[in-house]
Amino acid sequence: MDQNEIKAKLRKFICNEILNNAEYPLKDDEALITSGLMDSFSLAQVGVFAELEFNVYIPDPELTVDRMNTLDDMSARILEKMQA
Amino acid sequence: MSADPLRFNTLMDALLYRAEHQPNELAYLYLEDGESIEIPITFGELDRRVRAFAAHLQTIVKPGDRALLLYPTGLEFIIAYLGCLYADVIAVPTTVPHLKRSSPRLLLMMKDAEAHVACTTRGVYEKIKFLADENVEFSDVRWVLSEEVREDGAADWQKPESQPDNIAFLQYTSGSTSVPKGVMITNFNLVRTIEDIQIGVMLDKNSVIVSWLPVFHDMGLIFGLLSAVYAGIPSYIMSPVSFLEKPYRWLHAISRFKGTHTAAPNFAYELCTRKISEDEKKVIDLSSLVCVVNAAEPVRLETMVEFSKAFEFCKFRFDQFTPSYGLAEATVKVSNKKIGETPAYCILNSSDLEKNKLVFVQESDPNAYPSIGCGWSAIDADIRIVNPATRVQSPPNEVGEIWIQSDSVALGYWQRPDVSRETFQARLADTDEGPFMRTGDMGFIHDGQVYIAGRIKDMVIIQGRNYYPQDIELTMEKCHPALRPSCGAAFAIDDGEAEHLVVVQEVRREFRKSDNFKEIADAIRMAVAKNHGLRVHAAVLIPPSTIHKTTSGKIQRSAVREAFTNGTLEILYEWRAPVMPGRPTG
Repeated sequence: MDQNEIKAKLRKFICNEILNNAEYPLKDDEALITSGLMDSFSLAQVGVFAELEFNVYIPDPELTVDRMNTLDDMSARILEKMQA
Repeated sequence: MSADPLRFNTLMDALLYRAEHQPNELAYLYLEDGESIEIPITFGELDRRVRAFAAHLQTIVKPGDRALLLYPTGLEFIIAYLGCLYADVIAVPTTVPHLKRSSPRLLLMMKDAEAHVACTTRGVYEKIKFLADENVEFSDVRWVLSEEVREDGAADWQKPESQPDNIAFLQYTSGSTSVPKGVMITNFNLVRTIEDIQIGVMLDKNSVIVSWLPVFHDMGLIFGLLSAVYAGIPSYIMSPVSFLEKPYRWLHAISRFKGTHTAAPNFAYELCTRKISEDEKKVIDLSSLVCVVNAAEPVRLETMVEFSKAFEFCKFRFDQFTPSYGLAEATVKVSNKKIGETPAYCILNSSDLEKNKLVFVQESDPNAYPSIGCGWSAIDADIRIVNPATRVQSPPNEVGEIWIQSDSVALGYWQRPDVSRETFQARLADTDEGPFMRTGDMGFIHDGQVYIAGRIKDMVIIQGRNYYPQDIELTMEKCHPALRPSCGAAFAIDDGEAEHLVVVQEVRREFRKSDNFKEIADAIRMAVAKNHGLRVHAAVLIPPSTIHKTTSGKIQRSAVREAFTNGTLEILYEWRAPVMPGRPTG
């Protein structure tokens, strides 16, 4: 799986489940949390999604706003865990 | 106020009065099978049998000695309990052990209370004799069997002085892993609490109580049994087992005997909503009810709304619900909703609540958390909200520990001066006001009502945020149809570096052999993350009827936690987060 596939799955999950707007045109580098689009609360959901969908575990210290603010950040972190 | 204005110094005085003035009126009717086998007793007969029991005790023990009461639900228990009061002997009611699992607690209690006698029925004695034979705690204990009490012994009874300040009984708290503590309830505490109940829920001469609650536990004992003697009204009782087997029996008894007052913890209302069939509803009429107490575990708005809908056909109305708050350390009751009013609730932001801040939001808010008003005291208790860390009274927009000063606040814990001082003699750090009893419950006061947010000791604190386990448990049970409601536990474990959330949940019987456990556990993990912003560290599925509960049906989180850490849980499926960063092991 490459980073683009990860990104596509993440985008679908975030738009459907967190933003509740499947049509939202979420850009790869768009700030999700610092922009207020989603709550830092929702990072736990992204964490569980990564566990279920990609079978990787992102430990709490890495599941933070500064490391998980955009689709680019998230997918890079997930890919890194998959390759570890 | 239509409450019977009669007041007594002790419960003994109340029963003596009832026996003299209304000897032929019904005091109790025990439904032995929960339905048709009826065992009634009048106030006159009750008094005679209580005198006989007390006279028997007086030949064996002296005032102030402790008598363990090991009885199933029934008239024998009531007679033995009141017999202790008539002999000025300190009663120690407890549950009858039927499994080896619950006997360690009994032995700890025995040792702590230093009981001189153990009272029970012959049938129970035959079953638990092995305990007495095997354990040194019982070696100095005299057994008193109810069947051995001479019927004509009443004449030998020596009436003790009515001593309001003497200890009436020890109410042992449901400590599961720690040594249980005996709350010392005086005659004065008991009488004032019953008056609080009587005024608060408007018990009058036309009231009729119906109860299935455990008799050895504060709510079943005081609300279900003793308030009937005090107010001179009948109480119809059945055992918790009768209710749990067929919840229909409870509501049917209310309907049959035109019950006006009843009480139960929240789970009982959920059980009725789920288990009582449409056919059964056809013969139930709940319109006689004045007061339906919901207390002893967190009160859920949703449960009450669903129950009201389910039993609308039986003429039940939402405003019959009487959310209440209490604890053994305050004898049983602190506050209840005013009769006739609709239960009040406010919608809070759960994420602010986790930081002990009160922020009111709209019902549509994604973080909306409904909290139920538990009314106020009817005997002018002084109730304060206090920051448990600084011991300074909290501002109105904060959640804090509930502190109480009232006539119902017990003397302390039996033979525990240090813990008693800490719990019962608290003072405000800035003004030195006191003494207050620290309830250990977090809550707030809004619009003249007490609201409960959760127990301090059960609170899960992760990354500086407070979570109430019952909220997480509710999320969990609702997220998948395979899960048994009210049969899950959420708690924190400490790995030395941080606290982590663990959830343990029963699956329903029909899903016991499911090949889809992973899907169920995944649903729990996602639902908890979504509703609480929190990832579970371990999700464990266990078979039905294996989670640790107290005798009154409350989840024993600390016991579940212990079984989880010791590896003694019976596990169907388990997912654990990897300890080190990397791939999950599930």
